[in-house]
Amino acid sequence: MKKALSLILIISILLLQSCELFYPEQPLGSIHVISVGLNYKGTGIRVLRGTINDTQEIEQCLASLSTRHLRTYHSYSLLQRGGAGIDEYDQPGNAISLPTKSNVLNRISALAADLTENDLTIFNFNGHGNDDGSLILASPNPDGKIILDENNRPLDKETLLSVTELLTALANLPGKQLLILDSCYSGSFVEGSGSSVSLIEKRVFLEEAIFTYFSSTGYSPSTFVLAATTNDNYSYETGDVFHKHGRFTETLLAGLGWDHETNTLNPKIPAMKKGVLTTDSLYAYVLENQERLHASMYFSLYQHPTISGGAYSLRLF
Amino acid sequence: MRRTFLVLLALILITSNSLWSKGKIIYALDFSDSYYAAIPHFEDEIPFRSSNATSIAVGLFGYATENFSAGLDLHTMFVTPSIPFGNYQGRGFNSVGFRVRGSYQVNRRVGLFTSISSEANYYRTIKEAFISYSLQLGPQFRVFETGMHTIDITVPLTIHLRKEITAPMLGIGIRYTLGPHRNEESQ
Repeated sequence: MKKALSLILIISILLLQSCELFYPEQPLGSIHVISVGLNYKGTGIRVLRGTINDTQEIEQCLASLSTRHLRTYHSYSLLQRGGAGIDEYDQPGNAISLPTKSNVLNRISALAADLTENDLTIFNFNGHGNDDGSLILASPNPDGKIILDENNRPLDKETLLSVTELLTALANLPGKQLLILDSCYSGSFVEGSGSSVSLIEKRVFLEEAIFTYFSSTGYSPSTFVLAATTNDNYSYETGDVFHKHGRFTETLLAGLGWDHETNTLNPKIPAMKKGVLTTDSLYAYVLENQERLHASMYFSLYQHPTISGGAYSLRLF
Repeated sequence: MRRTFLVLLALILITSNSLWSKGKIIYALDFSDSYYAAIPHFEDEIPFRSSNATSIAVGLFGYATENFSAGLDLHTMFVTPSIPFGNYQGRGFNSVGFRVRGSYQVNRRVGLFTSISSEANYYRTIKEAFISYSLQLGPQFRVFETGMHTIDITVPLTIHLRKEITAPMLGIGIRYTLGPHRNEESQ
């Protein structure tokens, strides 16, 4: 009996030695948000009526959350919202804030000087995605027209920001990065983690998991992705008439506690678990609630959100 | 999967006959709770992250002699997300796998056991899977014994080998064994 008690005592002491209890925890760093949204009015391609709401409300919501959790917050918006008419492009004077490829990449690289290793950069995109995952951005031409080929792909590559270009630009920043993408084929940004295998749309995994275990690819938790859909599927907007959103972003905002009718942050953050909001808790909320929230209108339209794999989730607040 | 299940079922049915004869086939049920220290192979803010691991194993069939026993266990494990620290939190996951377990009874009260296993693991929240391997050893202390039933308190020390993490685990458990644990004729 004495031996058993001694063992229990030793184990209890070992438990109390856990790193988290003895390492001094630094406060979380500042948050930098780059918001990119396009509704494509006047560009000649299909207009999206929820994207600007998405971009603006995500930005406001993150600002409110940062204030509540005493985090330093900076935001940079690049919006293409068009003119008053449905076919009217943005005024030429707004060129500097238009989400062209060069403006977006310059904005990202300009951030580097302000960031520390403890800071978090969030890149949020709401707009069209090409079938290779590339984000369709504003044309550098003054008329804003985006010409498509016979397969509905933009002819001008300057309107496409590819997966590699964006991930490389973000990987060059100090600190941690989170991409929130609500566009078709956005799952293309969720690269294999190098340590685990996604089971979304997959049943057989053992062979691939064994191959991954013994492969030379490594895992590094710095850039995380939350994407609206898989790499081979569309992302849809809600059916609302007056105040549209992307289905994914609307659920994401609900998980963050955002009331988009009053544009205020609720006291309760539904996706927060035990006082901590992580990419995983947010993703779990979206998975659980997206279909329920939109089931009546979009029962048959498949859209499965995706997230970066691997051992860690990213803590947001 | 179905074929594997049928083969296992057949083996259990064949071997279960020995429970009621003078044979030495044993079955077991094992429960343990461990402290799980995830040591990353990549750069992190702290040397390791802490979780809790609960393990349940069923000894599908084993063989026992006077002092030795060996068997095949189907084991499952539930690892909680780590304590949040800094910018990250280790993801929680469930495991299922097979392990080969052996034990040696030093005397009537104290024994040693060891096992080697492979598992398929599933990150609950994000629908991702990975495989891992485990090595385990530790002492076991017999607290109850009849002709057909034994209960041991175990102190398993486990090394969980994941691709990007090595996780030592230390815990306490209980193992129930059904079957003739000793050769009664020799006593």
